[in-house]
Amino acid sequence: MVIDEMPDERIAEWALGLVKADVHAFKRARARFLRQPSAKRLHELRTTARRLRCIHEDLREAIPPFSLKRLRRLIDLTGEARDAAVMREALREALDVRERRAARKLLRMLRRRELLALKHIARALEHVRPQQP
Amino acid sequence: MKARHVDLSDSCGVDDAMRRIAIVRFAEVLTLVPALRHGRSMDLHDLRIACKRLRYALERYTPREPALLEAASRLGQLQDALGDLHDRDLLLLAMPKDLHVSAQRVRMQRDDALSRARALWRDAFATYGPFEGLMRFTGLGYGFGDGSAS
Repeated sequence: MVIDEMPDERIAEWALGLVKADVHAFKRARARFLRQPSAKRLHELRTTARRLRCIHEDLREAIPPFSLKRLRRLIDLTGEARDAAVMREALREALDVRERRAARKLLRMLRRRELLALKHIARALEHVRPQQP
Repeated sequence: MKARHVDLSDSCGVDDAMRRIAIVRFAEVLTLVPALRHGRSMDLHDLRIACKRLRYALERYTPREPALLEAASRLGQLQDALGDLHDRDLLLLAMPKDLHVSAQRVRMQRDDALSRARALWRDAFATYGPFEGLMRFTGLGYGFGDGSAS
């Protein structure tokens, strides 16, 4: 934490404003996802969480410290759910009709993986409650 | 790939801090761009992450620096193409051997995504192209585009 060492307080003020906006966006996405999960809301949750992580990487010298451990875990889980859903969709799109039977097992496995990740996300969200700095 | 540290300790003002961050993030992208030429999955994945970091940074600055808007938008397109490619790579790894006809289709989609990403990159450096504002803002990227992705 080096706000006191910053030569220019305007940077700290600017950085804080950016973090507040990102935290607000994340909290809104979190609430929307918890209210009713959907692919669109999962994407929103994932994007806002990643923006929060990126702003920390860019401006960590200028903002109050916050732990990224739970946020990283959440980003990993949303990635698992998203990857499984996208792979399923891509497989369906590319699937040759003669290989439909052989693909069933993989499609089922991807669906299971997605559902499991979604369950873990809901649990992880109980522990990720970023406060406005 | 871990993000490089941005030293803001002696920066003077918000514009200078913005520039420093953009320089570090753009340099990360430029370092990784040979991946577009050789097409290795892991390196392309790293390039996609670097594009994302740079785009997020630029999007934060566009209210103060609208000239960066076009670069942010182009980076989003690049990220989409590289994302499609990455999804196909993951799928190919998971596909059993008896899905060989479908796997061939997935490989073709991967190649299409790579061609799309290469074209988007090359075109970004054209005169008055999407990266013009970013190059002026950071002083980086001159000499890229010509053959760097073909």
